[in-house]
Amino acid sequence: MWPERSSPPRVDGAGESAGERPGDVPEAESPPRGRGRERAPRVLAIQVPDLPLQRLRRSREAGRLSPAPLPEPTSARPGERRPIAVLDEGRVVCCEEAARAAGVRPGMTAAQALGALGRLEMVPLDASGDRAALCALAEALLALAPAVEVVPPDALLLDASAAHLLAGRGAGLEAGERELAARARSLVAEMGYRTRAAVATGRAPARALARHASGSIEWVPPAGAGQALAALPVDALGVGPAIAARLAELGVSDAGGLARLPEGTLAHRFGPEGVLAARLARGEDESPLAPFVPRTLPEEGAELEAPAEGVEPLLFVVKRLADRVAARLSGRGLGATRLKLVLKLDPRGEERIVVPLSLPTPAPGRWLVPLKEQLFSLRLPAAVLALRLTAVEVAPVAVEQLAFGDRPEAVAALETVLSRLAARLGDESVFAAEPIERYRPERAYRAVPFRSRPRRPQARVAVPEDAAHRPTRLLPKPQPVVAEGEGGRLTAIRVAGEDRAVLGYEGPERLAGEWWSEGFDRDYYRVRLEGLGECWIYRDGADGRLYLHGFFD
Amino acid sequence: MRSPEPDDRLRMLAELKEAIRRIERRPARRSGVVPTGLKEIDAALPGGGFPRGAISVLAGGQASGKTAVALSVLASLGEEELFAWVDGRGEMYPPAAAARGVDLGRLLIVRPGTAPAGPGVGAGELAGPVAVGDEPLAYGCLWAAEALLGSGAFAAIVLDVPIPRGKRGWDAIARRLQAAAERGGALAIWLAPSRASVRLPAAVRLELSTQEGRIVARRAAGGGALAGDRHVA
Repeated sequence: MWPERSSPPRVDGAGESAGERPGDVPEAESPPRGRGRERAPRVLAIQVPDLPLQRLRRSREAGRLSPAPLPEPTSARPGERRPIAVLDEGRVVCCEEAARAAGVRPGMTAAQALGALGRLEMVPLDASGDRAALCALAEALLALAPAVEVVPPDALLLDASAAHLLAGRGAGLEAGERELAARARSLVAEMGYRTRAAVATGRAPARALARHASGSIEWVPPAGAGQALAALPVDALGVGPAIAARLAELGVSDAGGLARLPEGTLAHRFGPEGVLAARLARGEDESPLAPFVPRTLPEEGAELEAPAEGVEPLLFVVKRLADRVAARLSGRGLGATRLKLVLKLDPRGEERIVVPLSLPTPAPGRWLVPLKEQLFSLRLPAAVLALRLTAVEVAPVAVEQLAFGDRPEAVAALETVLSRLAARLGDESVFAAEPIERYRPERAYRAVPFRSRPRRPQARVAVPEDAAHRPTRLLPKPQPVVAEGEGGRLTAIRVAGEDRAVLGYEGPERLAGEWWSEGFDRDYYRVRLEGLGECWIYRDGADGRLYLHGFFD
Repeated sequence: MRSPEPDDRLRMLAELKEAIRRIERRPARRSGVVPTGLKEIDAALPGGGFPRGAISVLAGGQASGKTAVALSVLASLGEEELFAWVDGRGEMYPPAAAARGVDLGRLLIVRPGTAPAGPGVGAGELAGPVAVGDEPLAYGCLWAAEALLGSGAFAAIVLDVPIPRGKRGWDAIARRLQAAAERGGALAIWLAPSRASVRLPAAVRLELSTQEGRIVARRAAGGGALAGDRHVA
């Protein structure tokens, strides 16, 4: 099956060109040889064999409460996990090895499959789920290639044009492309999928080769696609069943045979689809990749293999989910600034945890500490059935991440402690201060996020001139005090019910705000009080009373 | 085989410790003292400054100069060093700190209680066997203090935490804070009221007061019990 695409070539579009004469279709005209190959992109195709099955296993494995992988079922031992087959419209699409060993084959009807293996677990195909899984992989793979195309039902195409940069200088095309393929496969393996890979020129050849590749990476030099494809069956090229049957009548069963057929005959007998198929068989496909653009924020979930009573067993699962969300974010050059973990409870209800992170980071290790702390602080009213982790807020990861002396361990330590503090005490409780030009002393600074990157001395925030005359401690709430005097002379001030002799004072300094924004009028005095030290006291113009506002501590 | 000389052994141990630190990706431990730049204060301090990796106490009245001394320490730290202020009373006034030479860009202010309380304090932290009572503010502050001290990310941390009277389990809290400071190599300054309800064992304890506008420091007895590596159990 070919993907839904707007660009040619398309070879299985039966009926799409019905009524048109073959010669009218521009694609049927043979392009000048050689030119097309120069323009065709180098493509790394990643195919996920039996994707529906792998996805199923992966989601069950993600819910494992221990690090061990899910055991492979054997048909021999009853009582074990039942082998799985995925069915679409009553027919087997794919099945596990144990089922295959018992005689189940793709294409069988449900009844035939059950006849072959009575304890077969049959799961309906979820095409949209499979597509979403492919998109999640594409998202992660964006970390490796400038463009990734999602080709349902089971393939991804990566633009390999810059792969030579991955290998060392002078290492050549092959080394770079193999390196790209190896990295892509290991990234997808981390996300929980087995793959096959091929690098070739052109989308269709790369994809066909990946589908038929063996375990290792299939690498085809720029001009060798036709030769590499020659031994593959014609249906590897995505040829529709009708054309394949007619080709078989002519004795053509492989791509090599198709490539050798004269083009005039092809156009006459098979229409434009036939011509395109032959062109693909020769390894000619100039169509560009249709890049995948992720639209939603990454979310990964898992159903637990058994209800979990406490928090401890969930940690494995949370780590797995965090790794996957992080891989997808890092493909987009994004880091999470806020995570949400939803725990589905037995039998209903859910618990939510929201973890703010100090800096956008795609490193899952930095998420785990605050996630764990929040998890441990939960009092779970019931067992947990499933988990879902979402990056609810993201931001681009700064290229210049390192701070203080390029010590990555110090940066990691800082990010971790900031995230812990923000998660436990709340975002608003953890901040850096920035002075602002305001007359009202308590508003002369504002809270800004604390950045790990220390500014250079010259980049320091300008300090307002009057700050030198301000107390080091400002009371959050000014405290009313009472002046006591003798013969018009101030002798003492009653603070918190206790008389304090005035040893001396300076002032007043008048601070008043614009009437339209912050109407206030205060006369401030620096008063030295016995037993307290130097205090900042003002007379409020509004009520004429005295207030203690701070200490020169 | 001849056993290595004591000096070699010490060097080898130091190298091994450093290698382990790198593997564990923990920040390097700082050592030494940080002078305040205030002559009278530095003269009263053993080694001429506040020790890193230990807790020092500045005790005094409400306007005795504690905050000014603590700010001087922050102002004299290296340009790549970060510092934090656990401001349990919510009184630290950042414009005044900036006026005293503290780079506000490197100063993290932690004010628990300015936001709605987060989820309950979790296991393994200052909860559990150490009953901190029902004072959520002190609780949040002490938790934050331990997290900051042990993180290794901050060179200095000033702790201004109101401790409710009659708090039990104080010794255990103090030990945890001290251990965290040693682990993270952080210089910790505990600001204490002159008539504090609890007394924190500390490497250095200065009693401050002001006389005619000058800060006067007196080194109090009781300091040194938990100084740096000379840990007395």
